[in-house]
Amino acid sequence: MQLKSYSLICLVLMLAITPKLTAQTQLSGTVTDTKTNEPVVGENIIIIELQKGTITDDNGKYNFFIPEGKYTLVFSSIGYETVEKKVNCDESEVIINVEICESVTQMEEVVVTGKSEARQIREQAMPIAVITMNELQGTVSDVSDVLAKTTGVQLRTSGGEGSATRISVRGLEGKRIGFFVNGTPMNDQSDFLDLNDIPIDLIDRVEIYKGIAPAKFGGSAIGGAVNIVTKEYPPTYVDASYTIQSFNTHKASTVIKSNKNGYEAGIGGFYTYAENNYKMERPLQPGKYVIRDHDKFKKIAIAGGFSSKKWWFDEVEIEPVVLFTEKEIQGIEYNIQEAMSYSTAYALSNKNEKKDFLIKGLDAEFSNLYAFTVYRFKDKAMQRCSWEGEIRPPVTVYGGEIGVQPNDVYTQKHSFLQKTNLNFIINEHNSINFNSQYNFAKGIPSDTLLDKVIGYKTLFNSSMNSWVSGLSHEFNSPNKKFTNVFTLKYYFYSMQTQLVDLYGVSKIPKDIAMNKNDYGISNAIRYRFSSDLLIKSSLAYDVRLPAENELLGDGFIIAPSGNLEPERNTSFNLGLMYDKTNDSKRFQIEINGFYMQLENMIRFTGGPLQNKYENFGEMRTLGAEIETKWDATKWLYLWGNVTYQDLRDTREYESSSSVPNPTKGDRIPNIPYFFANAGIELHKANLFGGKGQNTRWFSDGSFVEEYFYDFEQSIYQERRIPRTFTINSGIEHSLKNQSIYISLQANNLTDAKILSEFNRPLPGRNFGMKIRYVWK
Amino acid sequence: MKIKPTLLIFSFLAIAFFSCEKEKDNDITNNGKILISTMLPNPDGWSGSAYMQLIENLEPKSVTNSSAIPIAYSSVPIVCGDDVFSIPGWGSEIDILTKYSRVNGKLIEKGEYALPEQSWATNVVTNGDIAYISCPGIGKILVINHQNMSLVKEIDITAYGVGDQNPDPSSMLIRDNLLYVGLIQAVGGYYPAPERPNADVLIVNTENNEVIKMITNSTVGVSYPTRAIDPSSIFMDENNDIYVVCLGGFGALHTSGVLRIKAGETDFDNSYQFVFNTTPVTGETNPTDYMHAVKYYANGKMYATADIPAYYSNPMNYIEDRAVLPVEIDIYAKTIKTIGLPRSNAFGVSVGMYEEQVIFGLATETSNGFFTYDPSNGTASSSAVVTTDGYPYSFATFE
Repeated sequence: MQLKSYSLICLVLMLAITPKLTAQTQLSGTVTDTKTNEPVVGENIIIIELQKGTITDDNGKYNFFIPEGKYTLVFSSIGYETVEKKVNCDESEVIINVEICESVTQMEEVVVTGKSEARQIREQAMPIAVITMNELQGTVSDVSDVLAKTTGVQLRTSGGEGSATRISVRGLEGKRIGFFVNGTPMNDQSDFLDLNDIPIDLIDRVEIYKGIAPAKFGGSAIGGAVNIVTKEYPPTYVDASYTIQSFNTHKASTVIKSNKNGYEAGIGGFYTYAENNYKMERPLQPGKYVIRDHDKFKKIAIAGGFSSKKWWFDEVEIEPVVLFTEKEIQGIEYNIQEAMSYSTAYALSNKNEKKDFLIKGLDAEFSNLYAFTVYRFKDKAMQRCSWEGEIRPPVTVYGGEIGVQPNDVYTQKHSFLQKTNLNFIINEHNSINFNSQYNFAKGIPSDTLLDKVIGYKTLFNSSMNSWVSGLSHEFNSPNKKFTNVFTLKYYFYSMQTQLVDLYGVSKIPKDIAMNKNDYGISNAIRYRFSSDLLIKSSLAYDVRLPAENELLGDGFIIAPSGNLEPERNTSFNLGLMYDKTNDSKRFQIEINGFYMQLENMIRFTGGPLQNKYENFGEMRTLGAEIETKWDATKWLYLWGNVTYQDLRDTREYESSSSVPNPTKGDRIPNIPYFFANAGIELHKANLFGGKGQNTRWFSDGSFVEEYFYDFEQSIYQERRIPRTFTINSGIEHSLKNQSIYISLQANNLTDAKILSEFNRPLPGRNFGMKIRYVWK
Repeated sequence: MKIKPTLLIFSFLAIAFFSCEKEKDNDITNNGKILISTMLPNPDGWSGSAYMQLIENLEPKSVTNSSAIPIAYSSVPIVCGDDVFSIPGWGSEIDILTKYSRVNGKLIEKGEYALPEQSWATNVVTNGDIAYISCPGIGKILVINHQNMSLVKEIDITAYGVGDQNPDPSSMLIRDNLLYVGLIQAVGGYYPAPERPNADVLIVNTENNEVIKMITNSTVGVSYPTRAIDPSSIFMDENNDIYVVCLGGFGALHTSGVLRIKAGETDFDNSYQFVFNTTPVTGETNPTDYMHAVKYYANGKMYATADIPAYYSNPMNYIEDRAVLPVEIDIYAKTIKTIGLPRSNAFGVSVGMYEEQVIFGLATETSNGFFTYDPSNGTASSSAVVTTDGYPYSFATFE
């Protein structure tokens, strides 16, 4: 494996920022709830004299390395009384355990207290899975590897590092599933930021909403949503990591943050480089193998952050971000040697939060985001090359090696997003939440090469306005056992652009203006039998408005479809959750049953002249999933989940006819219907002697049953995605009280042949190593 | 170790099961005389499945795909004598040509030929043991021996491309040891250049497999000679005259119609042109813009599925709009008339012949399947005689 110079630079950078740790006291301890004796997660601990702070981890533990001396520690968090402790740090190791009481006044404003944020989210009335930082940090892989092990979730990845990843939640995927980062919609930015781009170490948790996307996210994601929540770092913090993996993959990420007098500033970023040069079987020429040789991926992201807690708002955040991506296009069916895409994004975001905004009890959050993006796609090769090396003419005299036309796409886009979230606590039992998300986008596309080939201009500027608003009411019974959340959403979407006739028969472009609006409604109920056992149920009737490309086509071979109706999904979920967590041990089991009926499915339809998107079809989903997590002993953790989702075509008749639908009742093809995951983890402190060390070994397996690529019609049908069983295993060792982590991981240990979709070959056995340094 | 009898029975059953699966013959009939194919789009709309199977006759029945043989989604199986060639077409499923033969009324797989990648093989004609395969993806015509499935020659015709280096070979026909190849001359992938309303046909000597010449007709603005997925779009009549059905870029760019190469000639017959767009369709108030599929019957009568653009909604809906009308065309008298069959959508457009009847594969508002028309008395079936699961994509009869 070749170690490139930038990898060395990253290592040097990491060493340079490592502070000296000599002549210090290790101050640590556990914060627990006086009443429940449960660890308190997310408790803020500030050392006044040093203006240094941290938060407790999932086990309620905290840790400082500080110079010897006398200090004042302040323990505070929402829902608990603030506690102050004087500490004399005159030894190398001082342990201060603290018990804290629930705050009477604050209790009126929070629904659940004394539990981790992840658990609070899981216990929401709507169906949701949460992957916590603990589950993430051991892995050397991507977010998708972790997500793929989640109940009801499948990741449809088309290749190696940097390839497009489609999230499938309970069988619904694509535009039906929202992808958010800290609640900001990213579906339209997939050319710039993909799910896997976000380094694991920057993530606090991943929330997977199934069937219902919360109103606060906006967007019309009828199948659910995946929200990646990045870490809220302690006031002063350094986190740097470097990963090296098979197929010449290198990843580096770092975050540096500092706090002074109520102002915080930070800078972070990541760099990813991969060659993805793994061996694959050529799907159209069975038995013939090639090494992928045109799949290099490079991404650089740099983000800054500044926040103030001293202005009129309780907190003001300003964050600039830049992203650069370069991607070679790997031929799967055919050899592609030159086509590439480039994307650049510049974004500036601002968030303002204030409690008791204007009136008491009203909490407000205002977010604004401006982004300028440039996307380039070049397919200008003046020759094509077969896998055997035969040189062929390009697809046109102007070049091109993909499909039947060359491309030189240059698309600029200005986007503005404004989000407002208002939460008003009416009384102890009732609160209302209003969310508004306004989005404006102006696209300035061009493809001069395609225009030259087909003889007329195909792409025109477009502008789009959308507004999604949600109003929800939450009721909590006096004994907190019963919760009901009712949500009403309104969607509005408008677009203006120009189009020319097919073949450019009329050279004068026509103005196109369209707007759509619709509504969605949902209700979620949770009843808590005890602090450990609850039942939840939800019903949603929601829509997905047609996307821009579905409405407008591509100006050439995909015709516009201005009359598309929104997709509508009716979903029902019933779940039972048992969660017994105490003394750092947990036993969780969650069972869910679900039903969905998707109507007016928008799908692509090929035609003799042009293709287009049409409302066509409906399907019904019935499914069940079960998940369990168990700390069998203090050193042994076991987990597993099983999902069965039965998606069936429910159309009675062929579209617009009385002809019986031949696939009625058939399983919807190309969607896994039965899959399971299980894992084991062993962890022990100071396994190899010494102190402040922890070792984790984990291994997990994933099983996906064979499924069909097409509707199952014939006994001779061969287009199947074969059953797969993959095993991953890894070890993580942390030193110096979780300051240094070294991780090794092997994926697909048995070198199983894995295909995504019908013929997207994924990597075989591969390895990775990560080193991470954290200072806080 | 004692082996239980049940285990043995299970083993035999398993062997029997897998053996049957490998044979992959078409079980529906033991006396198949007709080859039909059907297609079903997938919910993603981009992909789908297609199947072929033999049926014995045209007695009323419903045919499912349960024991049909899967073929590439975008192609039609090509029947040459008792042989059937399954080819990849424009899809990206597999670069393999599979040859089947009809043996005792059943389809038996005879062999495979690995095509060059990206060849998009769309049409096959045979001349004894030799098969010619048109490959519009790479601008070549492959010459193979279909008995031993070996390559004889690759005829590179990229030099005949106009507007690019690929003339897009389409459907073909052999007459007098000459191979006539329709050249679509698409530029930018799908359509001919708007400024060039011409029809090109390449002529290849089958004795040495060398290109003789490319002939061009530019008299009436007709372009796009032959449809790649319709092997009947180039045919001979009883006089051995070749007729080339042209689509004119699906009628939207140029005019569509029929051109002729007379028997014994190797140039277009400039005394004959038949333009569809300007010919009224008797029995129908709206004009046609092109023919989706055709089948020559006899005595100048050709049956076709005519595209009637007036029946498309705005924007077009290829599944719901029934804009394809079965018609009878007299290529000598240059007339078009309706024959009383219902309109279909754009996925049910096939035409074939069985005994003395003309067969239309239509997807109408009330039934999907094969309809019959008897030219001797002008009677047409009011619904599909043989209904199909999926759109009826092709119909061919073994001689």
